[in-house]
Amino acid sequence: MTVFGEDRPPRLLLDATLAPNVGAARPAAETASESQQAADGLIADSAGPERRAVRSQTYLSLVWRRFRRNSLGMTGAALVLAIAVVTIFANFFSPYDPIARNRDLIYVPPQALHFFAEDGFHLIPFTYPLSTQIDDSTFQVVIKEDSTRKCTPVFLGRGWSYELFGFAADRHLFSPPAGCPWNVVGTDREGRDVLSRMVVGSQLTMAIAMIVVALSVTFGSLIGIVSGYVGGLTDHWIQRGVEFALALPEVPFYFALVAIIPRDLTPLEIVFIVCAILSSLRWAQLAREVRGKTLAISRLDYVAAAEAVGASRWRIVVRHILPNVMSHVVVATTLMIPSIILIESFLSFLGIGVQPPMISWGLLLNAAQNIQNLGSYPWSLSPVVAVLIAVMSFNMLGDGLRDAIDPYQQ
Amino acid sequence: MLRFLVRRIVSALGLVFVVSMVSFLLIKAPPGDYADYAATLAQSQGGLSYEQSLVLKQEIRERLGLNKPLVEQYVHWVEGMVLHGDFGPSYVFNKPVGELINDRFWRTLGIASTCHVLATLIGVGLGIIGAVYQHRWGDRIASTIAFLGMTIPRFFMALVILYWLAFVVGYQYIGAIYSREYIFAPFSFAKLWDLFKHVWPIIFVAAFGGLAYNMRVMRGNLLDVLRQPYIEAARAKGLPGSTVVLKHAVPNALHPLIMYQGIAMPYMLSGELEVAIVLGVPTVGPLMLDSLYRGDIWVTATIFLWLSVILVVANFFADVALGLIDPRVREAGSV
Repeated sequence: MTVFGEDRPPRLLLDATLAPNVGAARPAAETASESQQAADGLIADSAGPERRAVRSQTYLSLVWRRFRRNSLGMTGAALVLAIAVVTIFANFFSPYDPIARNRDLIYVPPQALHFFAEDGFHLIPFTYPLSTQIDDSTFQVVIKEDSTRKCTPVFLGRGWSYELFGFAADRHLFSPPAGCPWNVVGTDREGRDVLSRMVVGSQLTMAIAMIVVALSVTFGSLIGIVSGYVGGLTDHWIQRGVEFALALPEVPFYFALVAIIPRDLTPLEIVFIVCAILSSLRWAQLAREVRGKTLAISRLDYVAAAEAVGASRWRIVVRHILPNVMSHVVVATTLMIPSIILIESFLSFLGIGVQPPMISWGLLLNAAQNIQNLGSYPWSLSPVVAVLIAVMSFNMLGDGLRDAIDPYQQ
Repeated sequence: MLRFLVRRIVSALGLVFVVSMVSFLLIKAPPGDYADYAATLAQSQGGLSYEQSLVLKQEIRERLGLNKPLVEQYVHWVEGMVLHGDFGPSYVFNKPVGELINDRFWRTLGIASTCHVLATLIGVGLGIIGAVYQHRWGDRIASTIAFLGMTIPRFFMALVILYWLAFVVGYQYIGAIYSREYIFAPFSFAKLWDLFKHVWPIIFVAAFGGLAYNMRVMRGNLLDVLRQPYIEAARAKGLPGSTVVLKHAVPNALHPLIMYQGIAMPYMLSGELEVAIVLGVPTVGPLMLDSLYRGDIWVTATIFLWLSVILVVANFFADVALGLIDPRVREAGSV
C-alpha cells in the first residue's frame, strides 16, 4: 500500500494538466507516516485551517475520498474485511471440528434456530435436540425435534481444540453443549457439521486464490513492463506468447492439464499443482494491459529525464514505471480473485481439483454433484452461498477501486 | 488489405501449430501408451501370457510408429489428422476419437454460437440502455443484470435450475439432447423444438453470464462516443435523440466490441461446457470430463485441440472483420 503514498511522480502529463495544483505541489515529499495520516480524509480536512502551510493531498487520500463516496465499493470492502477475519480465525468461528464424524447425525437438515421460548427472548439462538427413528413401513429415517429441551450453545465457550498461530486454543464463538446438536446448516454424509466445514473451507479456497493471484500478477506485470519498456524483438515475441495464452479456451485447457497430473500425489501436492495450473493463463491479460500502460508512460518526459540523468534501466522500471502501473495492477488483482475462486470451486466441484481430506468450498459442493443427493439433501448446496458472497464482495470492491483509482479525472 | 490478410493467416496458422504441439505433448505426458493398454487388455481378457503380450506390444508399437522419435511421431499424428481424419484411439470406448467427438462437437459449437449471438445482442441492447440513461433507472437495472450475470457462478445457476426443473417442476427434458422418439427421426421443426426444450437451460445460463461483459464494454464505449463533438453537432442540428444514438453513436461504439469478440467466444465455450457438464447434456463437456476421470488422454487432448482451433478461427474472423471496417487496423498491422 505504501507504494502509493511515497513519492509518487505525477501520474500522467494529462492528469497533471487537468489538475495543475495537485501535480505541482506533489514533490513536497511526505513521509510514510504523514501520508498515512493524510489518508484519513477527516483529519486532513479538519487540520487544514489550523496549519498555516497548505498541504496537498496525497494520491492515496484522494483515492480514499473518492472511494468513500461509493456505497457499493464500501460494502464490498467491509465484506472483504469480514471474510478475511473469518478466514484467518476460521477455527474460532466453527462450532464443530470440521473433520469430526458423528454417526448418529447423518444428513441432518439445517436445524431451525429459535430465539423465543416460553421463558421469553434468548439472545443466543438455541435448537431443539433431535432423535432419529426409522419409519416401520417405508424404512425412511425420520428426524424428530424434542421441544422440551433446549440446546443453547455457550458464547465464547470451550470446544474442540485447535491451533492458532502456534498456540493451542479451544475457545469458539459458539460452542454447542455435548450430546445436543446445533447444526445450523445441517450435516453431511458422515455427520460432519456443514457450517464448520464451510467456515474452515474458506481457508483453502482463499489460500489458493491468493497464491494463484500472486503468481499471475507478479508474472503478468513483470512481463508486461519488460515487454513495453524493452520493446523491439523481445516485445514482439512476448506478445506472440500473450496472444497464444489468450487464444486458449480456459476450462478445456485446465481439464487437459488436470488429465496429466500423476495419480499418486498427496492432496497437498495436488493443491500446489492446481495452483500452478490456474496460474498458467491468467498472467496474459494483465501482461497485455500493463504493457499498454508502460508504453504510454515510457514516452513521458520524466522517463526521458531519468534516462538523460543516467538512471539505470532497472531503476527506471522500479522507481518510475512500476509505481505508475501499480494502481491498475491493484484493481486487476482485486477483480482476479473472484474469478479464481469460481474456477477453483468448479474444478473441485467436479472432483478434479482439491482432493479430500482437504476442505474447500468447491469440494464441499462436490456432494451436490449427484442429482439424487441434490434432491434429497439440498442443503449440501449451501457452500455456494459462501462462494457467492466472496465473489460479490471482491467484485464490488474491485469495481469501486477501479472508479476511484483515477482521482484526477473528474 | 492483402498484406494484412496474409499476415493474419500466418499468425493464425502459427497459433494452430503451437496448439497442436501442446496437444501432442499432453497425449505423450502420462506414462504408458496405446500399446501398453492393448497388451494389458489382451493379457487380462484375451488370455495372452506375459511374453506373448510383450511381442504384441512390440508389434503394435511398430505398426503405429510409437517406437519412433517424438518429432516423427508428431508429424505422423498431424498427417493422420489432416489427410485421413484420424485423431487417434479412445482407450475406453475402443473406437476412433474422431467418431466419438464428431456429433457432440457440432452440438457444442451450435449451442455456444447461439449463446454467443444472444449474449451479444442482449448485451449490446442493455449497454445502449445503460449509456443513454446513465445514472438513471434504466442504467441501474441494466448494470444490476450485468453485475449478477458476472458474479453468480455458472455451475451454481445450472445446479439451481436443475434442482428446480427436476424436483419442483418435474421437467422431463433433462440430461439428454433429444427425447426418445426424436433420436433417429429426420430433421423437422418438431425435432428442433424438442432440441430447444433440452438445451434452453444451457443457453440461458451461458448467455446470462456472457451478456454482462458485452454490456459493460458497450456501455463504456457508447459513453465515450456520446461525449464526442460530432454527437453534439448532430444534436444541435435538431436530429431526434433516437437517430443520434442509433445512427451516429452506436455504429462508432460497436468497433471495440468486435475486437472483443475474440475474447468473448472462449468465454462462451467454457460456459457451455460448464453448464452442459452439470446438466449432463451430451455435448463435448461431459465427454471431456469423463475422459479425464478415466484417463482417456486421446479424447481429452483431441477435444482440447478442436476447441482451440475453433477459437483461433473465430479470432481470425474477428480480426478480419475489424480490418474490413477500420482502415487504421489493417494499415497498422500488428495486434
